[in-house]
Amino acid sequence: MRFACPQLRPPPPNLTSLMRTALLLGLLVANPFVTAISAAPSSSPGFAEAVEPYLREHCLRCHGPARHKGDLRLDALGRDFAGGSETERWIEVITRIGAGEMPPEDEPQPTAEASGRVIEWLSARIKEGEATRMAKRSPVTHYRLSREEYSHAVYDLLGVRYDARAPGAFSEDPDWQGFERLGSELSLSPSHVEKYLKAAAEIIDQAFPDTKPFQLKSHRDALAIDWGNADKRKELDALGITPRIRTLFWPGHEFSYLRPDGGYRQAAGLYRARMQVSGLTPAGGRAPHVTLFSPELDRMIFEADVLAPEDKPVVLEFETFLPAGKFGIKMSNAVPGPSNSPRSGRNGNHVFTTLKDPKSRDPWQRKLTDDEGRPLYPLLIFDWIDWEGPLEKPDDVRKREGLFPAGDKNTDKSSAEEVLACLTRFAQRAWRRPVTREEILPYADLVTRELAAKAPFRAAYKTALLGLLASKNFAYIAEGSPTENRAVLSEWELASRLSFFLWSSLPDEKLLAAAEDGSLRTREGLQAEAARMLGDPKIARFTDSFPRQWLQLKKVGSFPPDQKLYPDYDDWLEQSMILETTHYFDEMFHKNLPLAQFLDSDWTMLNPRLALHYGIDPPATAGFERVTLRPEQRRGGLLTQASVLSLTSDGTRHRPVHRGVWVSQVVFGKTPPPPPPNVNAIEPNPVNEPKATIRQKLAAHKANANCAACHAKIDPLGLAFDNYDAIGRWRTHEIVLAGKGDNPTVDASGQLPDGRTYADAAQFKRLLAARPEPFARAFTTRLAVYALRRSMTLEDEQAINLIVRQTKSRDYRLRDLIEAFITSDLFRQR
Amino acid sequence: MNTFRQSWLLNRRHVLRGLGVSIALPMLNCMRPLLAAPVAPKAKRSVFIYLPNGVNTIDYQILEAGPGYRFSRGLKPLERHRANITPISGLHHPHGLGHHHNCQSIWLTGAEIGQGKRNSISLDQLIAGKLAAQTRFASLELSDTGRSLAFNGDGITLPAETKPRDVFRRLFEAPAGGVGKEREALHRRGSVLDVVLGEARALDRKIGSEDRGRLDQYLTAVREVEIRTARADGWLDVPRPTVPDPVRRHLTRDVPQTKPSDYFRTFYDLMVLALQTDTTRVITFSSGDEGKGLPVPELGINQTRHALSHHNGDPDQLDRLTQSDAFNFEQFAYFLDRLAETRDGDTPLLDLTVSLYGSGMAYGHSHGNANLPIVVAGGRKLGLKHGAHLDFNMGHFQGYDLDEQGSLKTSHYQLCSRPVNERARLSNLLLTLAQKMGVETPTFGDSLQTLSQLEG
Repeated sequence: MRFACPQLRPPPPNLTSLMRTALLLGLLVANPFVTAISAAPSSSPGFAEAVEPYLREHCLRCHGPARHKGDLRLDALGRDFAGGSETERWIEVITRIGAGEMPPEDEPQPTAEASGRVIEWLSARIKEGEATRMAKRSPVTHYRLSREEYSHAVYDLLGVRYDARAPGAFSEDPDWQGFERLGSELSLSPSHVEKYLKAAAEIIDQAFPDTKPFQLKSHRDALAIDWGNADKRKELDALGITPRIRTLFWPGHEFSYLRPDGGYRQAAGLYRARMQVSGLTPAGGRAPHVTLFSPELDRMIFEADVLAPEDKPVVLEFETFLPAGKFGIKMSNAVPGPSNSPRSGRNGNHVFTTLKDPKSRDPWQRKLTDDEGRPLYPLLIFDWIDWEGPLEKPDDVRKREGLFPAGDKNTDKSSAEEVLACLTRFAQRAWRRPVTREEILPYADLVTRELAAKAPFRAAYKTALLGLLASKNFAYIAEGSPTENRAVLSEWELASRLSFFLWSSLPDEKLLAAAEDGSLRTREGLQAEAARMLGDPKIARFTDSFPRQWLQLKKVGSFPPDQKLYPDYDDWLEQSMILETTHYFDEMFHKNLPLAQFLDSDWTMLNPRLALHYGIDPPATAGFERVTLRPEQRRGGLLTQASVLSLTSDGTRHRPVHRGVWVSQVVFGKTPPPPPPNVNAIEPNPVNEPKATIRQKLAAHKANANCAACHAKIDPLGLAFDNYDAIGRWRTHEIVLAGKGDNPTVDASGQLPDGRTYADAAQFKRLLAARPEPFARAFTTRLAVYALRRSMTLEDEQAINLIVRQTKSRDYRLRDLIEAFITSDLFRQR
Repeated sequence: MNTFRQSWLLNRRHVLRGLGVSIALPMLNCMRPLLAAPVAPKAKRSVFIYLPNGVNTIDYQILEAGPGYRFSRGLKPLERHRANITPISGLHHPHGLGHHHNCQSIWLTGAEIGQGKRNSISLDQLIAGKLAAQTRFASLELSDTGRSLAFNGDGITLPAETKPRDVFRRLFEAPAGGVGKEREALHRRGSVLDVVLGEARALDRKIGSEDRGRLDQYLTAVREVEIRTARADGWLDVPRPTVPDPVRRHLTRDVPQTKPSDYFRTFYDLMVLALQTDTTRVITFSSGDEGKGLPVPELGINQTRHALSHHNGDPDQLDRLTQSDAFNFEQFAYFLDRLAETRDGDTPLLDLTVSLYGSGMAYGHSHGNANLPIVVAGGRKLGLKHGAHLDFNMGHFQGYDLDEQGSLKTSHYQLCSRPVNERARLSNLLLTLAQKMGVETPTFGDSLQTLSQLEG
């Protein structure tokens, strides 16, 4: 949210002293677009050429050999831009020039262009310095696992689900441009350690329970969840009606008793639910949407659109992790509809059986259908829900084999050797490398000490496991060794890098075996493992997580759209938007499609909710489907997906400058520097002036030569999408709240810095897709940031270009590119 | 006390001595179980409450400096506390300017954050660090979203709790398994920490001090958790305060955020109870997140405060923003009511508790982060003086720009976007509060001086 440069109107007359300052404000922003496309860093001029002449002419008289005003001597100031105190001073210099404070008013003034060039050059060096700083590696570098990786690793290690996002579990990881796994950003605080300990205790108890968990099997029918009628079961049984009873959920209606019937005996673990429902869609409307939500767990247990005729219900099946104990699960038909609050009593003397029998509904409920019984609103009809669990899946059970000493039946004790052997096996898997006896002995001692303190054997042994999971060796991925300075990863480190890249988790046994026998060191061995892993179902973690981070999808809904302006917006739409994008990425990956199809295509992935949002005929089934698009549907590629258009808006208005910055980052791999601080405020549209589009207001930038220098590069990248509103709907007129007259017409035309022009988003996307190379480079860089957990620097550029060149002949196909990256030198280096 | 426990405690002493950690007294006391914790009389307390997205500055700005000022429409609900509050105009964080919604993260730190730059310690945590050993909980972090205002010494944000019920249980209910079981768990934790710390330190010795990097964070964190574990052990023998049943029932209700007056007041009641029982002395409450400031359905306001703040000049929406502002100040006034009627000995809690209420944003529509809305309340016994409107704009501009009706013109938005008085830093106030809370420090963040006008 830092990039809107709110310099839209000239300063008011009573602030004339600030006028001159304001005129120079635009200068700070560099020229991202041109650098992205043409200038390679090697061809850029040096300090002597780019900055010195300017300093000599405008600065050194006061800040040079003769005088050092403000204790600043620019000719003697070092050229270190890597983040030290000299860098701080250069930042100060840029800020002063950019804000128009230097040179002072009574000195000869440089042209805006000249100041702009100097600022641009210095900003670029400072940015490179920052990247180098973030990428800095010591002899041993530690990268903390993100909370997402922690969960996956725990599951792959022990077959235990741990919900790291649950209330009171781990807090959200900080991100850098969307990436939530950068070593420099993922710091660790005492509260992390406390949470590791708490989580580890829960996980270990679940993996190795002291008593056999209560096996639950429960069935609730339509009458059981309808608390208003549940007490009439005997009468209804007698009348023979019970088997026909169903529960009708009108829009917004909910019932609370959907949880498994296990009370306090319910053990933590994986549960399977099966649920029979019908879902009726009104003509031209949206499908009913079933949600199962737990307020205590603050988690959506399950949700789906339901498309099934009244007489042909479907059985929905899902598995979910549930913690121990008692908590509510509410079921709702989460769609907007008529308010039923004045008449919400559902229990008259009517028990619902079928829409065909109006008498089975309360009088007001009869208005939910027309006279023929066709639904006028999305209606959900529930029959029953079954729960069973905790599920003991053979694959999960196998993971735990050999990790807990079998012990002697009589003494409940195990030999010291067996303890040591089990702990060693556990540590090797959890720590993802061979461990020495010396490393394990302190943990074995823990067991001994606990036993000496009269703890039962199981508790004593679990204390040691707790330690192994709380150890830095589990929480951190470590690369390097304290004794030698090496640039290349060891085979164990390589195995971890590969598995955390593709599976967001620790290596499996096969991968560890390839590390152990040395085959991972060979190109063929690495290729073979990569191919196997790319084909494994766990790759879904990559195709889901990478696009979320790369495209900053976390920002979708972070400023919830204004319900007054966007009454149609709801949680399921928000989820659907994000899912379109992750499904799109998944499809690109599995079909190995050319990267250019991220920029422009004639297809997308839609579910009924999103199809309705886009005004496209909904797919026949409830989930996401690939849909072929016609040009007049105005979609295709990532850039016109509702997720992207929303996350670059602020919930109230679309933000062309944010959109421009996002396109610049994602498509061209360049982040424009933020605007200078201290800019003038945008004053709101006066009520008695004609309505103006944001674009018309941004035109003030163009009127001001200094602002134009930078905004001319950013704005066209965003204005191209002006036909899409803040939640990504197509429009021809921009709705403006204050002002006189009609809502103004949208103009989405523009010109790229290279001269090519476009009339609208469709043409703009075509122009981008026609020259995909800068995008391929930007994409590969982002892939490397994700895999290597650090920012990329100038030193990495050559290696990245090499990967891009390798994949050019086949149009930079997604999977090809990932494979080329894995076998590149870059991937194998620290 | 079993033998195992003894060994662990000895072990701990050894480790701590080895590290040269200085230990606060109650920590040592945990070797000789504390039997009762006397509530320290007249303890100093502090509370920090965030209001997101600024205010309708046109309706908020007080026009006269000094005592006898007229309350603006937005601030009106606080008028009954005139003698105990100081509204302050003209403050800003230099690093907040142009950084939009980051203002929430640096509200109590004043740091420059962004790519490659980490936040610094927040004022509440600085104070909590000083007082940690005195109370069962060093600090409380509350929020409507889970995002807190608190940042530790490494600039890492602390998680916040969002439900009054959960907070109540953690604070006032003894652990489910009983003290014995809890103690066992703490001792087990202590032993585990010894091992993982030893392991990390072994590597640490090998790599040499300048290259430790992030391993250092781990070492520091584990050591801190050791200290906290020992402290928790000491507090186990101190009974928790008894809470009367009606109060318990009131505070363990499920309060939805869709009823914000109930939600806020329940949280405020809980805060008063926590302060009154000396369960903690430092509380932050992010009453709204920049992205999710609560709508007020009971007033017919269904927009978040963020949506309201981007009003684009729409008169209706501006009016709703003012109503929302006044609503939030009314809830804060309720908190002050409660502090005033609650006593610590013969002293009203209000006089022993300083509250900072305000926003890191002033003019939300254009993300203006200057002339921040800030109110300081209570804390007379800490040496704070109230009753006047402190206006740091005065003398640095030509006066508030009014139309014929005496209302501020929209040019006021400029004042809320770029400071006219560059020395009027919010950190100056934060420094003042730090010192009043007993933290001996000459500066805080980018502070230049204390606010002597506030000192009694």
